[in-house]
Amino acid sequence: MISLLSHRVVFVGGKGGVGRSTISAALGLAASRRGLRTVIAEMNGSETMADIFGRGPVGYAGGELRPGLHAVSITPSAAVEEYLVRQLKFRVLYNLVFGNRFIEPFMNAVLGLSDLISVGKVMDLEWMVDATRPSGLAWDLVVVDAPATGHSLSMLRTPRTMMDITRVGPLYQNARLIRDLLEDHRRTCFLGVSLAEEMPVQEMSEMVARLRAEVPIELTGIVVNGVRPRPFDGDELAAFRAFERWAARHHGPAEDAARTARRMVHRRARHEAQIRQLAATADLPLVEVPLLPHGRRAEDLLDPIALRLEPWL
Amino acid sequence: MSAGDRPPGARELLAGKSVLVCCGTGGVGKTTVSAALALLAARSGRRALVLTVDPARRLADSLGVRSELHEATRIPIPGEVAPGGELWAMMLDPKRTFDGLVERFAPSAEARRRILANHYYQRASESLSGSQEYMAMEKLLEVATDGRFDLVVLDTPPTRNALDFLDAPRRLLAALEEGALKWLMMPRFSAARAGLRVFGQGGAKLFSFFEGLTGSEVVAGISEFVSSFSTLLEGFRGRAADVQSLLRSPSSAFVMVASPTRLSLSEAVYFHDRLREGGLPLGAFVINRVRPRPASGALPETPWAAGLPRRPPEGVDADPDAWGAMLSQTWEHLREEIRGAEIDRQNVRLLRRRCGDDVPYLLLPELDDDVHDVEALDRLAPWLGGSRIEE
Repeated sequence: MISLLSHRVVFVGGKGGVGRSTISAALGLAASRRGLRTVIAEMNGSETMADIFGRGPVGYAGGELRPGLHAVSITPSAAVEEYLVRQLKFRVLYNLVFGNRFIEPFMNAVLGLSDLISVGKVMDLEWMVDATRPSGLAWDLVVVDAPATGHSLSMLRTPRTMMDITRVGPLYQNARLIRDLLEDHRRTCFLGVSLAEEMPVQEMSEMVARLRAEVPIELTGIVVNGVRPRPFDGDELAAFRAFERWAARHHGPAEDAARTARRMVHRRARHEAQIRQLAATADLPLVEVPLLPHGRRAEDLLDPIALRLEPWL
Repeated sequence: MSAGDRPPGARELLAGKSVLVCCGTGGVGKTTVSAALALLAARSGRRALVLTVDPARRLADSLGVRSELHEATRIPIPGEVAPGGELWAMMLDPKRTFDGLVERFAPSAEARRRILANHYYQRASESLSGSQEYMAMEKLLEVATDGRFDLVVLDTPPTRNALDFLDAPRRLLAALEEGALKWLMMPRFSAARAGLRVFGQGGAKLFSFFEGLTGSEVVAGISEFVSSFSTLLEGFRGRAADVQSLLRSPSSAFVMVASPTRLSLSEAVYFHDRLREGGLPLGAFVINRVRPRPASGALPETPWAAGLPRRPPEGVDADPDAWGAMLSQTWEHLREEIRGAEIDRQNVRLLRRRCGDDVPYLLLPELDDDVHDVEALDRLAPWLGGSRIEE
């Protein structure tokens, strides 16, 4: 039984280009409509949510997408600056030592600080207080539009890496808090996104295996994005075969139509094979989300997806 | 179209180039395009290597090879190959590359041993972000200059990462030259004192701040790591400068791979602008998976208006209702494909208008199957060769 919205943080991850942002947006929109005050956190300074919802960049400070739905764009350097200023207490000191830009790049490169602090920002959002709300919390749900597979894995491993390195001190404490959040199955879960194609399926299977081995985050299920329904069944399939034979003797529109119908049938067969493969290797529940033409409004694109995700909300 | 007005294609892009850096967002088929470019070069008689820094095993998939390609591995290519042509593939192993650098530049066996055994070095070289980008650059430089290959095609991580990646040598040089390493490499107590002298109050505070932040053990560990590492700096500085000049040399070019969606093309524009700002050469835009235009062009609203039979014709055995439903659904789909093909072309026109015509735009069609072997890569070659999808 999957219940994404009973968590505080949902990481949405998968191969580049499989539609993580679209799924994150659909999930966020569905959550906000159920009355959860939701923020979508984009990593690496992306502004895809602003694009999807048709508004200007939200920036690191964040901005509203729809009532009850916000986005923040987490830029590693902004997150690191915010963290260090908080640690240093005085901005003057920060400017003095970091303003000349010689330590920060080095510390980032050597300590992998920016990944840790970027995930730390997600934790800040989860913690953020708002005394005006009955829950006392600013956000009921944080949806993380995580980076592509490789970077996501290293990001999710970062707290443990940092703990191994430091073993003591505020950075260690910070890393431990982040790890505790990531690995707390009541608060945090991971939702995979894949396409029903060979490479994304393989990458998702490997990612799931590596998460199981290295980061005990709760794995809920995998959204298989961009799947088209089976085009023809029964009599229609027989009619397609007959049409295909007939069209072979014709040109023009008949030929085009036959080619298109063949593509529809083949694509569905390929998708089904990949979905079986993914179900077998990842050993997680799957939900198929249809491929949709982009409409003018974000809702045109997102509502049908949210409908399919419904049983998992 | 005669040969004379054929648009510039990959042959023009490849001519005289020995390094191609393929950049782009995830999922646009960057690895496939990188492999196809290398294959094209190999077929024309060059020794071509495709090098991927992607953490996932995409390259092996694209080439239909399953082994871990941490050493350059020759990929057999069936069919016609000009004399001397070879295709090679390699995946980056950042840790091994880092170790290789240490071995190369360590002044003594003792220094080498101390660095390789340092707990902190092991972490930094294995699992911390950033090292991968540095090492990709190092590996690129190594394979581009060792004389084994005529062409190296580098498949980078997704765009925003790829920009980090472009910045990696500059960041490394900045860190080296602005003295962070020199400062940190001092034993910690003298560093605090030196900090007082060099940076005044701020330096001393900075040092104790780090100690407070990470614990003194880490500062000591970094100090040890950096002080043994400092013996390599001269060599590293030289390598980083070499990478910069390699990327700026006339025999190198960047290839921006994108899909014809608005989102992907706006990333392409961003990248184009950044390259231009940085004075780096953009060799081509490759727009992958452009949806093909059906042969018969604009179509009426219904199949019947186009002359298709509403009922199974004479001698065709099919259920009449199923026939009609099947054709209606197919027709709707076909018209959607045509709309999609037009949207793709419109998006590419916008990109062209924004970025100008001094760069070749190579449009590759969406193929019906996943590309994961040499044969499938070959099917992209005619388009890479510059025969353009009709605009």
